[in-house]
Amino acid sequence: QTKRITGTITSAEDGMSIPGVSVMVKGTTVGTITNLDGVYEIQAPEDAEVLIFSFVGMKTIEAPINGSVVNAVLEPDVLGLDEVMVVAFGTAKKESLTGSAAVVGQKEIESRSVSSVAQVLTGSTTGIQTTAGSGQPGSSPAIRIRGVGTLNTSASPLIILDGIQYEGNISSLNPGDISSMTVLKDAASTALYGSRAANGVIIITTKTGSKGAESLRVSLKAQAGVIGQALPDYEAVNAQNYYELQSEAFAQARYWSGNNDNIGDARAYAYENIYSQLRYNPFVGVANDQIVGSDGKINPNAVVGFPDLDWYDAAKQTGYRQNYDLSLAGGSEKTSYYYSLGYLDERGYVIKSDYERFNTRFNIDFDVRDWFQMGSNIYGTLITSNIGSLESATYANPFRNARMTAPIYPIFLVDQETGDYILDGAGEKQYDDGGLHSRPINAGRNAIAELNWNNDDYKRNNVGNRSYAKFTLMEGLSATINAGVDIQNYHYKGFENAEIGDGAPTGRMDESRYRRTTVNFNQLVNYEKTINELHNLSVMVGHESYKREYTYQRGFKNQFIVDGIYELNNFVNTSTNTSYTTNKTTEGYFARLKYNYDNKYYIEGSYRRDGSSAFHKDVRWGNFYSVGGSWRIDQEEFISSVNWVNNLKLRASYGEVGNDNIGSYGYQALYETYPNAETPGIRWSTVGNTALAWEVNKTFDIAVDFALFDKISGTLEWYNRKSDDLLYEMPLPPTMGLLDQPRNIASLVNRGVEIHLQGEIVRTSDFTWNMSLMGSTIDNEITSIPDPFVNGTKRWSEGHSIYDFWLRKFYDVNPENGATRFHVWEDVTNEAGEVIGAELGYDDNGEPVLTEDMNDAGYGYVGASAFPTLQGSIGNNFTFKGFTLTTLLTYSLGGEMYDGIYRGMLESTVGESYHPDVMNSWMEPGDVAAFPRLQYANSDLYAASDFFLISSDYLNIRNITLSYDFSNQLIKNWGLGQLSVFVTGENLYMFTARKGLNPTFNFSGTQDGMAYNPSRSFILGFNVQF
Amino acid sequence: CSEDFLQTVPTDSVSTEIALGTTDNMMLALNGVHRAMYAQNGRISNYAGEQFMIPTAEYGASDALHSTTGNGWHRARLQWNMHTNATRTDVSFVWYHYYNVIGSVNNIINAAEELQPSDELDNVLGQAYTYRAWAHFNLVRYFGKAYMIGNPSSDLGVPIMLATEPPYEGLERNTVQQVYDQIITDLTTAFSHFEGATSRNDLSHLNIDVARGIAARVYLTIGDWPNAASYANAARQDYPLMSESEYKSGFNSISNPEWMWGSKMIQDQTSYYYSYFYYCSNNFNGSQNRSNPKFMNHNLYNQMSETDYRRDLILADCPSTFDDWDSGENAGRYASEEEYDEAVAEYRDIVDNSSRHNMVPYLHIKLQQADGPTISPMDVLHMRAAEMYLIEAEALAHDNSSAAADVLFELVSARDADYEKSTNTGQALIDEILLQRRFELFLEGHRWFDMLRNDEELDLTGSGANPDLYLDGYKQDRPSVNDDWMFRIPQRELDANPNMAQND
Repeated sequence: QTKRITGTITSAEDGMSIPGVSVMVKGTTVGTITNLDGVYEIQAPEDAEVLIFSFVGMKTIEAPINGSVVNAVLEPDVLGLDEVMVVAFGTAKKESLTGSAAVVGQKEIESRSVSSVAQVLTGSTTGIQTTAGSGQPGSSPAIRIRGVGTLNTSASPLIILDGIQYEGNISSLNPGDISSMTVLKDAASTALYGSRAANGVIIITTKTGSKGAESLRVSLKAQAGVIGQALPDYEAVNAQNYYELQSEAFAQARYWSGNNDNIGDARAYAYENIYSQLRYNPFVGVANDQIVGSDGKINPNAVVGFPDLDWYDAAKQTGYRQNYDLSLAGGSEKTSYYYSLGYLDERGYVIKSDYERFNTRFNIDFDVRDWFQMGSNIYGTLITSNIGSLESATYANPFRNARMTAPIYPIFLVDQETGDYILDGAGEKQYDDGGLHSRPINAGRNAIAELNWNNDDYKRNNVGNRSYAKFTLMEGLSATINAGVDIQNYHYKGFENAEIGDGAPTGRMDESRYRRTTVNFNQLVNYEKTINELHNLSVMVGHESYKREYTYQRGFKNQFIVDGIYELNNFVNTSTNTSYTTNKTTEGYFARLKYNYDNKYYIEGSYRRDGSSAFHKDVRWGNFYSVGGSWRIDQEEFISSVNWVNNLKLRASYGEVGNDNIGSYGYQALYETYPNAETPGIRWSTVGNTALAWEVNKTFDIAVDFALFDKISGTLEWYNRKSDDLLYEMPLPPTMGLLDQPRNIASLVNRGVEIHLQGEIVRTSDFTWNMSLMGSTIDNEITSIPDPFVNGTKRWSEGHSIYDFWLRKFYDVNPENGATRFHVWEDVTNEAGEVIGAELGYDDNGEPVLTEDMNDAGYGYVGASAFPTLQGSIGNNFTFKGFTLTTLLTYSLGGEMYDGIYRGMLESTVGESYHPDVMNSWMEPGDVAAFPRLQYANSDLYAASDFFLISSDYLNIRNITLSYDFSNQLIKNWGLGQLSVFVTGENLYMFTARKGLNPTFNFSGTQDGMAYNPSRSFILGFNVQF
Repeated sequence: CSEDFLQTVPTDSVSTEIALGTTDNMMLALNGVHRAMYAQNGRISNYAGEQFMIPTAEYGASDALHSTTGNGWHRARLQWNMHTNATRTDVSFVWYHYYNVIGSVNNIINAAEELQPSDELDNVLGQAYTYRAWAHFNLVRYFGKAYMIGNPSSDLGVPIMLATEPPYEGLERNTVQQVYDQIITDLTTAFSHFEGATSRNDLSHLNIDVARGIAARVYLTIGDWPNAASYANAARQDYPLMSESEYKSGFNSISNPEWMWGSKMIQDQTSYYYSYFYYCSNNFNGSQNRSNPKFMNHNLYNQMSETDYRRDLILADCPSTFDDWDSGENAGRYASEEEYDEAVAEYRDIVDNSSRHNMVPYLHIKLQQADGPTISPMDVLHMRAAEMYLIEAEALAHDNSSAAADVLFELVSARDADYEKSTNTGQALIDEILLQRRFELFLEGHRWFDMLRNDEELDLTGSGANPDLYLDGYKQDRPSVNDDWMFRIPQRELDANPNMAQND
C-alpha cells in the first residue's frame, strides 16, 4: 500500500524553485528528485511519516507528512554540517566521524575544467600535497597525503572506486561522472583497508539516479579552449654573449690543460679560434676568425643572420581542449539509473602530444524485493594518445634539447656564408643533424625532426564492473556481496625513423602490450540497532579477496621493408621479443563497531587481518586496527543555549595500517632467464629477503571541528603519524654483486598541524563572498635507521627528514684563480672509530678548511629541506546575481630545492647554452665573483653542492572561474531546468624564486630537465539541464 | 580462500635453490655470466659488459684517438674527467660489472659444495674460479696502484669477495698483494678443476687455455717472467695465428681460428648503441661513429713497417670530411674540389661506410661491420693467440732469453712478410716487443693497462689528437708519480659501505 505525495521545493535565497532536489522517505530507500519546475511526486509507504529533502549546498531538512502535499523551503548551507560522506565500506554523516576525512563534492568538481579529476584535489583540503603534473595531455599529478610515510617512490594513496580498489589511471575517469571524492587521511578512517591504507585513501564515487516516481534528467556540458605552457622556460644568453663567454671558457681550458702557458696567449688564441670549437657562425658576413675581437668582445658587426634558432618555438604548437559530457539520470519506483557519454580531445602545446578519451558509464539499481536489492555499474574508456614528447627520450626530448642548444645552432640546414636555407631537390628545408659542420652537441640528432618523424603513441582501454547484491535479513541486519573487476589493456607503438636519431639508418619499431586484470570480492554483514532512542549501535564484519594479474609482451624490430607501414611485420630483424606475467594476491578479514550515545558521544573501532602474496608465508599476515572517539559538545545542554555556536566537536583517534608495496616477489631470491646467444642461461637477479614484512603506519589524530555565528566553520587538527619497518630497496654496496635488497629499514614520523577555515565574509541579497583558507605543516623525521645511507642529494639518518639535503658545501670563488672553493666536510667518528656524520672542518686557527677539488670536499647536511614549513590554499567565491566568480590560489613556504637544470646551464660545455648568470663569472685575479671562472671540461667548478639550492616558495594562481547562471524563470520558458555559461583558467601563473623553476615538479625538491612543463588552459563552456 | 591463493611466483624466473641445485642448472647460471660479458646490464646503466670496458681501456690512453667531440660518448674519458670523478656512472659501472661477475660465480662455487663431484661440475667450477680471478684482476688494475710501480704489500687494492651472502655488509679494501695472491690461488684451483673436466660448449665459455692466458696476463703484470712465459706458451698451442685475409676481415667473428675466448652475438640479443663497435668501429651506423671517426696515433702509425699488412688497416691518406677540400688537413693534398670528391668516394668504398659518416686521415678499419654500414651486433673478442705470443716474448726478453726474438719473429713474420728476426737485446728488444704489441693489439682493450704496467707517460704531441678536445687527457705524467691514473672508488660504494676508503 502506498500513498501519493507531491510538492514544490524552493530556495530561501531567491524564492525560486529548485530542480534536482533529492526527496527520500525517511527510514526507507524510496526516493525521487524534483523536476525542472522543482516539483516532485512520490509513492510513499502508507505508514511513512517524514520526508527528507537534500540538495548540494543546501541544508538538508526533514518535513512531516501531514497531507498529500508537502512543500519545503531550503536554506543555503554555508557550514556544510549536514554532509553525508562516503567512507570505508559505507557512508557516514560528517558529524559522526571520529577520524579525519574531507570531501570534494560534485559542485567543486563540476566547476573546474580539467582532464583528470586528480587536479581538483590540489588545494582542496588540508594535508594533501600534489605535484603540478606533467603538461602531457592525459597525465595526472602525483598525490601525497600527510607527508611522506614511506620511502619507496610509490607513496600514492589507495584509490577506491565505487567500493572497490581501482588501479587504473585517475585520468581515465571522466570527471563528469564523479559525484564526490573523499580523502581519508588518518588511520581511524582508513583502517578497514588495512594493508593498503598506509598512504591514505581516496574514495571516488560515481553518480547515480534516484528511485521513486518516474523521473529523467538530461544534462549536457560542453567546453572548449586553448592550452599553453604554464611555467616560463629558463633564460639563456643570446648569440653574441654566447660567443664571448665560450671564448673565455675555451681560453681557460687551454690555459689549465697546459696548451698555453699563460692566459693572455690562451685568450688570444681562443678569440681567434673559437669558431673551431663551436663550428657555426650565425653572424653572416663576419669572418670565422673575427667573431670575437682581441679584446674578448663580440665583433660590433656581428648580427645574427641565421633563421630558426629557437628550438623551443619549433617544438610548440597551440594546444586546445574540447570536452563534451552528456548524462541521463533518473528512476522509477523500483529502479534508478545513470548513464553517461563523455568525449575529451586535448592537444598539448608541444607537437606530437595529444590525448583523446571516450567514456561511458551505466549505473543501475533495482529494488527486486523489499529484502533484496541489486545493482551494477559498468564503465568503459577508450584512450588514444600521442606521447612524442615523452619525458624519458633523452636526445629527442624537446625540452632538454631546446634548453641545452646554444642560440647559434639552426634547426634547418643553412649556408653559413649567406644564412640562406640549403634546400633539398624538392625545394624543401632540410633538418640539420649537425653532420655537415660537426656541430659539437647532439651530433647526428635533431629533436624537432625526430619529434616530427617518429611515432610514439598508445591506446589504452579500461572496462570494469561493480556489482552488488544486498539482502535485508531482518530489521537492521543486512548482508552485502560486492564484486569488482577492472581490466586495463594497453598497447604502445613506437616507430623511430630511418633518417635521424636512434632509428637511423634502418628504422625501428617497438610494440608492447599489457593487460592488467584485477578481481576483487568482498562480503559484508551489517547490523544496526537503536535502543531506547539513546544507544545507537552498528556492527559490520567482512571478508575481502583481491587478485591482480599483469601480463606483458613486447616486440622490437629494426630494418624496415616498406616505408610508411608501422607494424612489426614490416621489419626484418628482431631485437627483442619478450613476455612475462606477474600475479599479486591479498586477502583480509575485518570488522567495525560503532556506538554512540544520544548522538553526543561516539566511539568507533575497527580491525582487519590481512595476508599478502608479497611476503613469505611465515610473515605474510598482519593485523591492523583503529579506535576513535568524538564528543559533540554542541549537543550538551550547557552549550546548546549558546546560540552563536552551531557546531563544536572534539575528536581523537589512533590506528595502525600497513603497506606491502615492494613489488610482487621481493622476498624471493631469484634467477631470471638470460640466454647466452643460442644456449639457455639464467642470471642472478634478486637476493630476496624472507624476513621482509609489512610496513606499519601508526597515526594519532586529535581535532576540533567548529561552526560559529552561522558564518564560520573550520577544523583545527594535529596528527602524529609514525611509520615503522619502512620498506625500501636498500642499496647494497656494489661489491655485493647486486645493487639492492628489499628490507624493512627504518622508522620515521610525520607530524603536522592542519587548519581549515571557511566562512561567509559578505552576504547581501545580491552579493555573497565566501572564503576558504587552508594551511598544513609537515614535520618529517627519521627516528631510527640502523644503516644510514645516501640517496641522491639526500642522506637518510636519524634525526633528519628524508628530504634533508646532503651536499658539498660551497664556500666561495677563489679571487686568485676563479676556482670554486668548497668548505670541507670532515668525518665525525664515535668512540669506536665509526663514522657517524660529518661536520665542516676548521683548522687550528679557526679558519675554514677549503678545497678546490670536489673529490676532497665531502658531503654533509647543509641545513636545508625540501619539505615546506607551510603550504595550503586560499579559495574565494563571489556571487552577484547570477554571476559566480571563484578563485583558487595555492602556496608553499619555507622549503628548498636543488636546481640541477640551472647547474647544467652554468657549466661550460662546448655548444651548450648558458644561463645569463654566468655573465657574472670570475675573469681576472682579484675579482670577487659570485660565479667561478668559465672553463670547458672542468667538473670541479660546478660540482653539485648547496650552491644550487634555491627557495621552493611559490604562489600559484591555480584556478579562476567566472560563471553565469540564467534565472530559473527565464529558462523555464525555454524548457530548461538549468543553464549556465562559464569561462575558466587553470594554472594561470606561478610566482617562483627563479624564472623557469618548477617547485611543484616533485616532493623531494629536485627537477627533471626532460619533464614536459605543466600546461595552462583557458576554457569556455556551458552547462544545460532539462 | 586457501593459503595457496597467497602463494605467487614469477613466470620468467626460478628460485635460487633451483638455479644452483644441480650441475646442469649451474651451467645455466654460468651461461648468464657469459652473457654478462657482452649484454646490456640494465641495472646500474645500460652499458654492455666488456663492450664498454674495451673502449674504457683504450680511450684515455695513447693509441686509439677521437677526432671530434662527437655526440659525447667517452668524451669525459679521453679528457680524464671520467675516471677521476667518483660520482660518475661510468666509474660505478666498471666496479659493479666485475663485482657482479664475482657474486654470480661465488654463488656457484659456494653452492657446489652440496653437489657430487663430476667432470661436468669440474667444468663449471673451473670456469667459475677463472672468472673470479679474472674479475679481481681487472678491478685491482683499474682501482689499485699498478703492481710493479707501487708497494703492493701496503697499497690498497680492492675487497676480495669470496662469498656473497647476508648481511651484505661491505668489506674493506685488501692490499694489492693480497688481491694478486687470491687471483693466483683461484687460478690454481681452476687448473685443478679443468684437469679432466668436460670440454667447453663454445668460445664464450672458459677452458684451461683461457685460464692459462689469464694467468699469463697476471704474471706479466706482476713481473713474474718465467710463469708469464710458460703460461702464455701453453695457452696458445691450439690456436693458430690468423691469416692476412682473416686479419683484414674486421675482428667481428668468433669463427676466427686465433680467437681463444670471444662472445658470439645474435640479432635478438643486440646491445644497440652500447656496443663495442658503436664506440670503436668506423662503419657502424650510429651518430657516434658518423660524427666522430676514430684514428690511430700518427706517431704509432709512422713506426710501422711499409710491408706490414696491419698498416693497411690504417688509412693515413684518407681525406678529412671536417675540412674544406683545400684547407685544414686537406690543405695542399688535392688539386681541385673534384679530386677531393673522388678521394672521398674512393675511401668510402674502402671504409664501407655511408655518405653521412665523417672521415679523417689515419682512420682505422680494423673493426668493421661485417654487413656494411649497419647496426648489426658483431662478436666480441676477449682473448686471442697473438697476445700470448707477445706476453711470452716480453717475459722471455725480461729474462734475457734468446727465445724471445724467436717468439716475436713467429708472430710478426705472420703480419709482415719482410720482417727479419730481431737482433735487439735487453731493453731494446723489450721496447720492440712492446711496440709490436701496440700495433697488434690496437683497440683491443690493452693499452691502458700496458701504460700502467710499463709506467708510461701520456703525451699526445704529434699524435694528431686535438689538444682542445683532449685538454687534460693530452699530457699526463707517468703512473708512478701520478695517482690520477687510478680510477676513483665509486661514490655509490662509499655511500653504502662504511669500510671503504677512497683513492686519495
